[in-house]
Amino acid sequence: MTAMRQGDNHRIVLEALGMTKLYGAQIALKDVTFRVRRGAVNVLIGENGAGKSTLMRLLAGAEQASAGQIVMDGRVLHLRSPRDAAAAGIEIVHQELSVLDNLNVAENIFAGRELVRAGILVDRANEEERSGLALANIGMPMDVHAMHLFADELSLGCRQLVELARSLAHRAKVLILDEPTSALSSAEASVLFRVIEDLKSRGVAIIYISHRLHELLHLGDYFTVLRDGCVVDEGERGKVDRTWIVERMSGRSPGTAVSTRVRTRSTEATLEVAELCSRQAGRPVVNGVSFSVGKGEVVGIYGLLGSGRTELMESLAGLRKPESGTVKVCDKCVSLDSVATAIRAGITLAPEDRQKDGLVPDLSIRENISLASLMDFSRHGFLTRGDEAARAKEAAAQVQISTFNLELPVTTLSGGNQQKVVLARCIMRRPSVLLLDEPTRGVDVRAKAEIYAVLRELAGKGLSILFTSSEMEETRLLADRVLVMARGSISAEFTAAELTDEGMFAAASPALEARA
Amino acid sequence: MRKMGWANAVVLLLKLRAVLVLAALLILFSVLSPTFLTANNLSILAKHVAISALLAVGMTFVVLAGGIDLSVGSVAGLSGMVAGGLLTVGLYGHPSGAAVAVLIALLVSGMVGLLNGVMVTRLGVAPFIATLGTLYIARGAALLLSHGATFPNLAGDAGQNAGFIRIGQSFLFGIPSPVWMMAVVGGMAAVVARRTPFGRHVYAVGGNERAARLSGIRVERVRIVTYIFSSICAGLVGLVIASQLEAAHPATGESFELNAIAAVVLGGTSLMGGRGSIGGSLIGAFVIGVLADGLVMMGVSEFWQIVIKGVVIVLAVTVDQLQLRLQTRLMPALLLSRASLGKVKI
Repeated sequence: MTAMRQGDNHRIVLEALGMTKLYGAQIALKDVTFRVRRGAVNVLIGENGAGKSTLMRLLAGAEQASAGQIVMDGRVLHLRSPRDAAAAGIEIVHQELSVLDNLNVAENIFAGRELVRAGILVDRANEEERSGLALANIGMPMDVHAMHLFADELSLGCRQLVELARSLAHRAKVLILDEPTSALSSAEASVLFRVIEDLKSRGVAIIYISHRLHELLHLGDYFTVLRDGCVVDEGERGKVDRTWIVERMSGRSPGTAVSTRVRTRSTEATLEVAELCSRQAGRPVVNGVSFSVGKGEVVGIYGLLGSGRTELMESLAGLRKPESGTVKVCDKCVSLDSVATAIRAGITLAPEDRQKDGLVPDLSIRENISLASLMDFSRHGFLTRGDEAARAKEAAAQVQISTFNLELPVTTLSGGNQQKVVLARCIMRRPSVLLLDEPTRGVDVRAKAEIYAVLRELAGKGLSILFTSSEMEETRLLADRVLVMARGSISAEFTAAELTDEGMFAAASPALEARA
Repeated sequence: MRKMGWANAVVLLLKLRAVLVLAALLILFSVLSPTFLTANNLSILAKHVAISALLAVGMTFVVLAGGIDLSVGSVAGLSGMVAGGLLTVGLYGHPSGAAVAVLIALLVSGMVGLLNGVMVTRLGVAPFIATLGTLYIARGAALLLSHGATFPNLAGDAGQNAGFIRIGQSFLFGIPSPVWMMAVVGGMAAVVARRTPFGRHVYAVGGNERAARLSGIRVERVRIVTYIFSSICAGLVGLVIASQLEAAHPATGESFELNAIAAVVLGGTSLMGGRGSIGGSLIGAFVIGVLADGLVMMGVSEFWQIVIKGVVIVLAVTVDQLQLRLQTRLMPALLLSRASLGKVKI
């Protein structure tokens, strides 16, 4: 390690100076300066919405900064497209895999940059040879036969490695890995770590983003912490430990008292889940989960990506048929065949991705709010506009949507208000149990606080709320009780009083527990 | 404040553009051709328009829900042939009465729609492909019914099928029956689209299927109903044409689907689903009809007419995109103007 530092390694190769990025009126990044060192793992840490992915998109040329400058080896780069970034030697391996399922391995590695013969023909032999080299380099040697497999025939881990090989085949100087292990098994992850060590020794600068603390501490050389779009601190290997990271990420010391909220737990259980199991592609994703949520109780599920929390929510909402297990609402067994039956049983889900799953962009705010309860104000098959408008207004006021005109298109609202529209729709059905998947993803700090207040108030009126979050702070602020999920099962349960960030982290990362 | 008023006016004008274009065309043709604005010509025009308008109304629901129905022309042909066969040959050698023939023809049409809907929702066939398939199937079935021949003389030798002939040829208050049908079906469809839960569900399914499903809407059922309705509208058109001609010809309705889609698109309905209106499609059908009629009366060559129709469709969709972009750009101004109004009231 020390020997390497003497040489060219650990020299700053890439600097992002004063990066600012605005989305409309929202500030995603505020004057962020980030330095990337050669032959080292540069770790970027922060909670969801802290600005990590935005910064990476700027470095990868997927988006342009509102202000700021990217300097590489003393030269200012103008990255107008991912192509420009690739030409400069910056490659990104995305969190959501961008492998093309309909192409084979070699074709994937050269997708968009095909090698050609005679100016027009794809040079397959050459592509396959170089793909073979790139794959061998990352410890995944493949023969020509394997190279002809389509990407969708490969396991998730293999696909991740193919994507990595793609970046390496193009001789990346800076390699961005955005949550590379979130979908990998521990065996696959250890292959990846070996590859990373190897790349370091060859002088590649690696930017590493992950929520898994033990990985970061194991791999990282330099650490930068982002919170709410700003850099809060930087540190080096040796000076950084778990406490350092957790403190800076959440903006408070982990030992302090968590909540002064005292809630008497209701004895009535509104939602009771027993031994719920669900599989995906033969793999158990929810594995014998049992818990209950009391009347007026707010229960948080904390877990990393791939822990099964989203799948659990989808099972309860009727989107995914559970394999076994029982679900009771108000002491009555319900079968969750479809969303419609779940809603009738009193369970409603506010989905994680508003744009994709929540809102109908062509409809007005009023129409989006009333969408799930249209039968409530239909007389003889016709909608009564007056009723609808009044009820929508009432629901909008309940969740504090700040607009004066519900007839405007829903797309005119900010992210926070859009999320409130989804909430308003859910509560209009008067559910017994409200499920929220990442209730404040992509919402600014002020709107977050408002949404928490609204949810607290709803719980106060007797609504049972079950939410998932990958933010510790949110889980801490909102929940009366926290269930931590890891690998499809509940690995720990905390009451608000017992809750510490340390404890949540430990329970969410089972690999670390096993080692400790 | 003045600027906001201007922004509002521009958006309103763009929204009304189909009406404006229609008005412009009417004025243009009545100036250029003195016989254009006569009662007789308008009556003929309305009868032409009614055919494509009825198809466009059904098509609008399908398109709003994010689908497309290419089979409507063939279904119109099949419906006419089923009715024609029943009236002249009948089942087991006993010719049926007009009411039975009409009911069975509409039932058969509805079945084709059901088939379309089931293929699209349950079997996962892309709407374009599924309805392209039924386009051929229905046309083939129509030809098979008579081995390619026409069923002539639908009125019957003794005029026993006068009821059937009345479908397409009668008048009420001096207005031809197909125009009444267009008005009634169009009016009902507009109310269903705007004022019933089903209509709202159609918009939601086309706008964001996942969100609709998560709201408890039965997406598949909504889609199937739109296909059935479109097919029944097509069946009705087939009956009207057979009644007008007093004969059923198996080639009736060829390429009608394209006219219907053109009317829907001209009326501002997005082929991506979720945005548009029945009223717009009706106006779209009128624009196409007036254009065709006017050009004929002015003696424009048949071939040029086709070119002009194509140009109008492309232009209309271009303006549509312009309006969307302009609306998003002007939205802050619009919001502000309404905000200030709101404050004044308080």
